[in-house]
Amino acid sequence: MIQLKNLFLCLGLLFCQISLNAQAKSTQPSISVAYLGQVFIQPGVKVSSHFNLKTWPAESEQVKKVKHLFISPQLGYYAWPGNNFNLLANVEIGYQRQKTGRNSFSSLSLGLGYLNTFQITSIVYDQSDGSIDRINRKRKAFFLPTINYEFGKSINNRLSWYNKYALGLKLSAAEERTMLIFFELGLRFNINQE
Amino acid sequence: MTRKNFIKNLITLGAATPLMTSLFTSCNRSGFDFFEDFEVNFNGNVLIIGAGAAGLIAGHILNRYNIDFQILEASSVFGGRVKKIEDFSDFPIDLGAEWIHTEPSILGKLLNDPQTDLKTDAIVYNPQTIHLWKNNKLKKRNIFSSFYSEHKFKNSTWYDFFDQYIVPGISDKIVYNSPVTEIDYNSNKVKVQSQDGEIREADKVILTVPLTILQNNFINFLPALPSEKTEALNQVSMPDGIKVFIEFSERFYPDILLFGNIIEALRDESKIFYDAAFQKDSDRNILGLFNVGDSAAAYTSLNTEQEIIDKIIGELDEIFDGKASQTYQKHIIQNWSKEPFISGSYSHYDDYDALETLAQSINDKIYFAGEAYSSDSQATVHGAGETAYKVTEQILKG
Ligand SMILES: Cc1cc2nc3c(=O)[nH]c(=O)nc-3n(C[C@H](O)[C@H](O)[C@H](O)COP(=O)(O)OP(=O)(O)OC[C@H]3O[C@@H](n4cnc5c(N)ncnc54)[C@H](O)[C@@H]3O)c2cc1C
Repeated sequence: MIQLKNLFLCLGLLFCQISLNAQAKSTQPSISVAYLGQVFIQPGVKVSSHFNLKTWPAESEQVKKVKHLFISPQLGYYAWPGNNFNLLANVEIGYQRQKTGRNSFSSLSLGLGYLNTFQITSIVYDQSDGSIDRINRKRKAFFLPTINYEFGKSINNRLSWYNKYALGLKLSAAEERTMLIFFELGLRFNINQE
Repeated sequence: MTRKNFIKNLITLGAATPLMTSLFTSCNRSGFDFFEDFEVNFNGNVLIIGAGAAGLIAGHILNRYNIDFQILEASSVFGGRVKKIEDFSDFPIDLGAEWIHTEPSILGKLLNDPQTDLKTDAIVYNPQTIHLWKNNKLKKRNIFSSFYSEHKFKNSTWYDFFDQYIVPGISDKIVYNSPVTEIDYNSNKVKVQSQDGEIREADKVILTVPLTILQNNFINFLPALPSEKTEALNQVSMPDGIKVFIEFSERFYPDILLFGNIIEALRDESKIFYDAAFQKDSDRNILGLFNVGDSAAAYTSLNTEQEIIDKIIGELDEIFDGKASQTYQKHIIQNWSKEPFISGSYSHYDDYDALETLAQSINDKIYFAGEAYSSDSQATVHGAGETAYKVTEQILKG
C-alpha cells in the first residue's frame, strides 16, 4: 500500500506539472462550474479548468472532427447531509472528440484525485428542544483514481454545457477500497474565445 | 433494524439530500415541535396493559396530566422488547431495539419536556465495509455505504432512555408479574383480570401487548373481539426474532455481513452480522447477529443455547476460514421467540388495511397502542411511543 501511495503521489505531482505547463501554453483554456453528485444524490459543486495539450484539426471537409488531448485540474465539494462532507482535488487527462458541424463533443479521461472526507462520527442532541449541541467529526484522506466519460454541446462560441459520469475507487492504507460514482452537469466557459 | 426502515432510508436519502440548503452545513440543526397540549375532558381512571415502550410512554403522558392510572406488566421487568446488558462488554448492549430509526431528537419529542437535561450522543451509523456471503463466496459490496446511514446510541441504550427519563416518574404505578388473562368490557367499567385472579376496574384500557399475545388468545375478551379485528389479526405476522452477541479476541469481520442477493438482503434485512462496537470507542471485538423473520427459526427453534452458538460459530467458520472458533471468547443470546410474553420479533404486514382495523378502539373503552399500530413507523420503539401519544390524546380529549 505504501508503494501504491508513492506511485499516486508521483503521478499527482506529474499531473500538476503538466497542468502548469498546459496553463502557460494552452490557446483555448476554459473554466467549468458544475453540479456534482456522488451516486447522483449527494450534492456538491465542482470547479474545473480545462487546457488542451494537443489538437488534431479536422481531417477533411466531410469529416468535421477535431480531436484534443487535454488536462483538467479540478476542485470539488460534495456532501451527504447529516453524514459527511468531502473536498476533492483532482486532475484528469483525457482525449476529446469534437464534432464541429454539430457543435457537440465527448471525451474519455483518467483522473487522479485526493479526497478528504469529514465524517460525522456522532451528534449530541439537546433533547429539551431537539437542537444539536455538538457534532463530532473525523477526517479521512483517500486517493481517488477515476475513469470518466463526458459529453456536451456548445451553446455559442463561449459557452457549452456538459454531462459527465465518473467511476472512482476510494483508496487508503487504513480502509478497504470503495467504489464511488459521480455525476456532473455543468457549464463550460471558453476564456480566449472571440 | 427493520426492513421497512432500511428501504425508507434509501428512499428518503434519495429524496432529501439534493436539498441545497443543507449542502454546507451537512447537518440538520433544527429542533422539533413538541406534541401539542390539549384540553382534557376526562377524569376517570386508565389501566395500561404492558410496560414496553408504548405502555411506559402512555403512563408518562397520563402522569403529566395527573390522570389516575396503573400499568399491569406480565413479566418482572419493564421495557418489553427494549432490553440491555451492561456487563458483557465495555459498552452497554441493546438486546432488543438498538437503532434509532429516525432523527435522534425523537427522544426529546417522546419525553415532551422542555426542562429536561437529557443529551443524547448518537452515532452516525454508516457502515463502511459491507460484505455479502453468496454462493459460498464472500464479496465486497462497499459501494452500498454511500446509501445507508442511520443512528445508534453511543454510550447508552434505548433501555437507558426509559430507565432514566420515563420510568422514575411512574415507577410506583407499575405492577409487575401481573399477566392479564381476561378483559370484560360488557358493562360501563372495563374489568381486567390478572392471572392471579385479581380484578381491576377502569374507565379506559390501553392495551399494548405484542400481537402474538392476541393471536394466541392469551387474553380472553368478553364479549369476544369484533370479527373484523380477529380477521385482521390473521393477516399480520410477528415472525421469529433473535439477537446474539459474541466476543472475539480478534476482529476478522466487516462492519456488516449480509446474505444472498444484495438487493433482497437490503430490502428484507432479515439476517445480518454486524460490528456491534462500531464507533463505540470500545477496545473489544463484539459481533452482533440480528435475525428477524422466517430464517430466524433456524436458531430460535433450537433447544439449547449451546446448539445456537455452535451453529453460529460453524457458519462464521465457513465464511471466515475457521477464525470464529479460533478467536471465540464468550456470547450472549436473546431469543425473542422464547420470551413468554413476547413470542416473536415485530409485526409484518402484507395488507396495511389490517393495521388500520387493528388500531381502532373498541366501544371507546379499549384502545390499542404499540409498534404494531403505528402507520408510518411500525416495528420501531419511537413508532410504539407515537401510538401511545395518539391514544392517550383520544382518551383525554374525551
Ligand atoms: C430483535 C429485535 C430488534 C429490534 N430492533 C429495533 C431497533 O433497532 N430499533 C427500533 O426502533 N426497534 C427495534 N425493534 C422493535 C422494538 O423493539 C419494538 O417495536 C418496541 O420495543 C415495541 O414496543 P411495544 O410497547 O409495542 O411492545 P413491547 O415492548 O413488546 O411491550 C409489550 C409489553 O407487554 C407485556 N405483556 C405481554 N402480555 C401481557 C399480558 N397478558 N399482560 C400484561 N402484560 C403483558 C410484555 O411483557 C411487554 O413488556 C426490535 C425488535 C426486536 C425483537
